[in-house]
Amino acid sequence: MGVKPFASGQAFESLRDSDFDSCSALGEVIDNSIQADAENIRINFDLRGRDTIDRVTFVDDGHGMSKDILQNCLRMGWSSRYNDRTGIGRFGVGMTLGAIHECRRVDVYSKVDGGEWSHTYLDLDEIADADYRDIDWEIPAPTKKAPDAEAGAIKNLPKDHGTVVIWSKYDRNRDKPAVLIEEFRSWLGRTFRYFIWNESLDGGKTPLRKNGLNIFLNGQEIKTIDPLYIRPEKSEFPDDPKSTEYDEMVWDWPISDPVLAESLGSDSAKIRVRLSILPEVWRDTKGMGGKADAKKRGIDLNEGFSFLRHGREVGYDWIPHFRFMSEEKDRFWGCEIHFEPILDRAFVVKNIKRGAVPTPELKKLIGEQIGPWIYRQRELISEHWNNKANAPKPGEKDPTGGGGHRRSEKIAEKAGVPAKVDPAIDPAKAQDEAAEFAGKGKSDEVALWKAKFQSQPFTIGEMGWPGSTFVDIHYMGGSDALFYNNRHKFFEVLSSIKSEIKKGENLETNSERLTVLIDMLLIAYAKSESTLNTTDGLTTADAIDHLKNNWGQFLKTYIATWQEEYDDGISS
Amino acid sequence: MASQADSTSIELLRVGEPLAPLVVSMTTYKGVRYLDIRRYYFDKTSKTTKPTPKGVALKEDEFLSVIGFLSGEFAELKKLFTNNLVPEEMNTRAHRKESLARNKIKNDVADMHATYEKWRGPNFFMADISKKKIELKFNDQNKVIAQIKQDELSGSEVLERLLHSYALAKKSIDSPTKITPEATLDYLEVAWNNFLR
Repeated sequence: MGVKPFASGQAFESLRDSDFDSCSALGEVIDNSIQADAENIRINFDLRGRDTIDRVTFVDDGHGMSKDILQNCLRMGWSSRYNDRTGIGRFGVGMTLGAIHECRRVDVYSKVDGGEWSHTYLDLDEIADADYRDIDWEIPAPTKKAPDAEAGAIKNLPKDHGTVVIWSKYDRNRDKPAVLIEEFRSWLGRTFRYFIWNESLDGGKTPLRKNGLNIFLNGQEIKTIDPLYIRPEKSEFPDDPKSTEYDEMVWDWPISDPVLAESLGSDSAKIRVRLSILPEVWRDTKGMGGKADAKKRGIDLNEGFSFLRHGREVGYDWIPHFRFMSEEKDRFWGCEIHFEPILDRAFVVKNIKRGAVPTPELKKLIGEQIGPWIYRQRELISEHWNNKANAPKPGEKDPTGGGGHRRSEKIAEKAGVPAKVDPAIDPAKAQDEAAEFAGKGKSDEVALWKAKFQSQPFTIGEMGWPGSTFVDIHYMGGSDALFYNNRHKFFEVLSSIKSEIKKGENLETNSERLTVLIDMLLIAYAKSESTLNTTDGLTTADAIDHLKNNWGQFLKTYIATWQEEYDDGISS
Repeated sequence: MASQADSTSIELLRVGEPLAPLVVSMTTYKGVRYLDIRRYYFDKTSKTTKPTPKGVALKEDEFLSVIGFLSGEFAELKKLFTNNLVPEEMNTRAHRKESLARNKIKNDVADMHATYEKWRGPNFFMADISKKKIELKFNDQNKVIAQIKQDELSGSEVLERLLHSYALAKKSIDSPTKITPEATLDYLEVAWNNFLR
């Protein structure tokens, strides 16, 4: 005599520990409503006291389910759209697997246009009891029953067609309900943002669906959270400035399954990548991402790539084992990677639609194509922070530097070191040139710099420029200027050390770091000097240029090695 | 043994990876013509690709029989590569297709936009590769670049100066050091600028 392949009760109990989290489990019901073309989805949490969820009710005005579909909708592995690659469903396990991850009973009521409400359910306690008595438990055939007949009043019950799902015997409270509800609110706003906007997925004008989507959680409309910050209109802050969006990248990626490829008549599908950097106002200074206003906008959580499968976010994180690590500045740019379900294999999308991890080749491609862009954004963010930190305070006439630099300038003035002035230099012209460079062509800043050059024999300034020189010297016929390239690793590290010392952090380590930094500076100089060859026949000016260029380059390499090999805690 | 004069080869098609391509050529050996289909390898000494023993040289009658069979059964033969793949075959095939797709995207020639600017950095050009359209900037602080901008050099002079300074720069970089590829490129740029004068 044969035996059943598994005992239903125990199997269901094991399946409760699937890899969902609460939000993605709850989200499975929303996916089904979207697939049923719902325009309004309402979710209500009923609490018992403050710490217990009594039941969760989902109401949608989608096209509803026929009795046949209703009876099967709770069967594991059954789907009216099984392996359909056109929408956000596909696997046929979400409805039940999501529900039992959180609770022990799920009731489903549905009504199609012109039909009546029908009801069925799945109850883990009844399944366990049947198991105990060694009898089969079956999902009941749908019976005529309106959702508010037993379950109490349901607000906003659709008149013509729709579906109501009720989760009860909720026994998997992980957080306090209030925490879960707020987390779920943000999750809904992020995950279904494209459906709420009803935005085209191919960059064209065809909307994602016939009608937009409204989601209400405990009566409150869900506001979108956009990691690109380019569509604030349906967010909590519709008047916020928008991000700068970069050129979209579109890649043709192979469909790995030859049967699918043949059925589609194409062996590849498009992957679209959208990139943006936040407006300066939200990344004005270091540490700004953690401030209250930024937190309200989700900027503090914004660190990584957003993967969207047919417009539905399935993953949002840094890519595991990516070619480089994430850092704080990465919360100030956004990257969306869009793909269609036909490319599920390339993103290793699981049946719970939670998380997306690109295959090794795709990961390499993302690194190659987006990596340089990320580095560039980090540079721009650092540069802005440094410029901001060095900008004159309101009412201050000093264009840059301040503090220690002013003291150094005074020392240079008092020391009276003899200077040999090159008669070929026209002081006025040289000062104009240097002021133009330092003031970046802005007339008010240029004027401040000129005034400063004229008032003292030696000026020190900080600014950022690309390349590996770390200092730039302007000889101006008696009043010279020295500019530090604060984009160079040397000054980035120095600034990090100074900032920790100011806060009184890691004093001993930082004192050691300063010693290393000065050693690196001088070793790089020595190395640069040693590369000059007297037989090269260089002019003095060329020799100085070589010395300066190599000094900066060697210094960059030495500091990079120090950071990588001995002190990865020291960062910019 | 046949002398080199006994053998000629005309390359007709080269497919696959640049360092290990599959080459189709028409060869003549001792007065007989062959269609040669052969895997090549990259020879580090001569820095060229050379034929491996893996391949076949088809005589005219063999070629006609094989090609007749292949073209007649093309659709069915194509299916042999994809029918009833076991998971391991599916994964290997997918990996190869993805690798080819990645290389194709990598090798797509990006649009370029070039401008002249002045900056005091140690490089005569900067390429912003972070955007879809590569932005190339030339530093006319460098004397040679300034001359190019003013059309004071002929095309061959420009090429000669660029390549000569590049060769000197390459020579000046200490070979086996521990520096990363990224730093090596930085050094090369700095040295190239130093020698372009």
